[in-house]
Amino acid sequence: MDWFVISLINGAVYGLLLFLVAAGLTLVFGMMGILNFAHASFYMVGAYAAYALSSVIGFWGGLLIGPLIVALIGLIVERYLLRPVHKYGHASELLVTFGLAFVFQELIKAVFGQFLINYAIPDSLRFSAFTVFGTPYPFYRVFVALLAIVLFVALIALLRFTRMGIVVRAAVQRPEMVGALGHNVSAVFMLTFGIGAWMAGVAGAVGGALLTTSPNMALEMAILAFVVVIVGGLGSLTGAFFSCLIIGLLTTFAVSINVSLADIGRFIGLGDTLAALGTVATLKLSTYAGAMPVLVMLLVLLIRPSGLLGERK
Amino acid sequence: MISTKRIVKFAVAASFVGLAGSVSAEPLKVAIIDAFTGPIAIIAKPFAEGTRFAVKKINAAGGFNGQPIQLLEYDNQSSPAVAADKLKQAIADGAKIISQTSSSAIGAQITEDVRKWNERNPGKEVIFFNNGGEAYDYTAERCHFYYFKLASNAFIRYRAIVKTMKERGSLGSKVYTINPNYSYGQESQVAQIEATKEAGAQVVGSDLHDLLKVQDFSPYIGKVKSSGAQTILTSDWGTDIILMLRALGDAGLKIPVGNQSLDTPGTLASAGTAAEGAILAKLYNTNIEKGQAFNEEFKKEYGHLPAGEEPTSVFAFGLLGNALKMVDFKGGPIDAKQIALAIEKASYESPGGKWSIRKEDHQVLMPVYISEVSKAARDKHDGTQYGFKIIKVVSPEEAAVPVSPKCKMQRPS
Repeated sequence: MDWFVISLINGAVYGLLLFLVAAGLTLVFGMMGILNFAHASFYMVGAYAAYALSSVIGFWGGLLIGPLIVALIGLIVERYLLRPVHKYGHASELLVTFGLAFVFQELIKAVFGQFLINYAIPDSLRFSAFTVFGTPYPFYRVFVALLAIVLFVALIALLRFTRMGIVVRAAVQRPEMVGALGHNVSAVFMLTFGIGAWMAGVAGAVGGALLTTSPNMALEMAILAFVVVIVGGLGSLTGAFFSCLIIGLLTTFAVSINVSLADIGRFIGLGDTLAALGTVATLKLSTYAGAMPVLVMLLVLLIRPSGLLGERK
Repeated sequence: MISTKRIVKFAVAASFVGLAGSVSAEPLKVAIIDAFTGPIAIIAKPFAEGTRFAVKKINAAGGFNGQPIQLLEYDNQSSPAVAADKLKQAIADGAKIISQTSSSAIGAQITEDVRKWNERNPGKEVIFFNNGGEAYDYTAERCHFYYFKLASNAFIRYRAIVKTMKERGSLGSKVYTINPNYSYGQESQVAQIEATKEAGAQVVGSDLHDLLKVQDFSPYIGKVKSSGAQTILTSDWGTDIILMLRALGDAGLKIPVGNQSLDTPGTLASAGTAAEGAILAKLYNTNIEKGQAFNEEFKKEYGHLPAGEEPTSVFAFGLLGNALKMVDFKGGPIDAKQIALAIEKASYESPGGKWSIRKEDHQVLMPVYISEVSKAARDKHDGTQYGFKIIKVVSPEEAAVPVSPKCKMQRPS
């Protein structure tokens, strides 16, 4: 029972961290149709910026200013690199952001070196929030989870209840009409991209300390972020939220499940046949826990291609 | 009638041939095909530094065959496919000695390619001088005459770690193993289980996880806790061991960890206090008294102590240097077979003990230093307050594991 509760909490926290990274991507990919391969690079730059700033103005300063720097970079990228390419279609946008991802990685390596750096959780946040069945649960993880929930609510509120949010949503669906009504559609897109980049920066600033900070961190997160967006549905922030939780929980629970296909097969008398097959059939589920996100994506694409709560096709 | 002009032309031509003969002294080319970029570059860096240091020393003493040894470096970009390509390039560039260190998977690719090349090109053999890469099967199923293992393997390391922990009374009766799911990790798991059983303890859980993909180790630590394990043995490295130690610290679980990768640059700094008390098996420890001269020499060259795997390369190529002293090609073409036969007989006196090659499987016999991550160590590592305190020096004979029955080495005639 305690295993279940702990896995539940850990899975939820992991899922919420994923959401921090993927929310920005959903916003940009889903609502604007821009395939941003460099989104995970914003995550990485956020971590490094926060690290660099934290040695000067402390962890909280880094958390506040770092993502703003990333947002600025995002605005510049949208205005000067993506806007000219809009008219050539999604493929061109993808290529530009793909190249950008490489550029960011090399720049980070050139400035900070190619090995791990020690971006650590500040001592002021290193205590346990509560104990679960005798195991202390670190506060920082709870902090990350709460931050993700707060940002989710704020983002939904921004999009649903503010004038700017309505303009953004309308501009995505009917850009010419919104332009004709006098709104500056280009500025709206630029702002949305900037917000997406900002969120990735926040994710990096908190995630870099929780996990590890190295030039390879973008690659590790990129795949997960895209999987989340696809499973949740392109264009749905709520969908992304739920898919993050599902993926986080599944991955965490899978680690604790030491059954393999062959074991399950035993219940229907196919145990020995499956065991004789070897390899995949005898692998414990815990061994391919890392593949869970991709398996879920496969399932969703087969059954419901538009994602859990998706609106675009 | 042969004209004078023709005789003169012939004489001039002949003299050129004579001159050409004297500048054809073939330099020995050593090719490092390693991961200088990519996720495992962090592993390759200390090995490469050690190799460069050792080759520089040999060249300062006169090189080999009348020429300085040429060190060629190729980046395999952490990929076996690229490594195979670079190997072809290295051989085409004239390399006779190939070195690779950071990945057992890539090393497996290279040793097979070298074996096939040697089979298909008798007289043009190359040697795979493997001064890193811990897979055991290199000296088991994959052993061949032109392969030399100048590193340890999981069985040597974990046997030494577990035995020492048992002697100190810190092993406990229940052990949990966590390893990355690829050749090196799987072998380590087998080695850990074997060593645990030999020490009379019980393995209460074994986990394999995706390499460098797991972001959250807390579920694994949860499993460790519920199993009641008193020790964790793990071959994790890089971000994996850092995240695992952090998760261990977060869970407030104070049990010893047996590992061997905490000396990789950046690891100890990122793991922080969670790493305190972890036990490693190292192939050299800067804290031994006899190591002072070597430490200083290395520090002068590279600005830091040889606290990681640098000495493995230094001693490996030191042994090669001694082997080279036993052969003389008199400036002529280099025959890898002679060098290989010499390596088999060579040895090297490292500051802490003798390195020598076992003829049956080309595995190096060397001392192993069981160390503990501790504030009490003299030499601090990675800019932290921790260093590697020596607990025990295991002699080459005691550290060695038996020759694998799977090694069927075909010796050249």
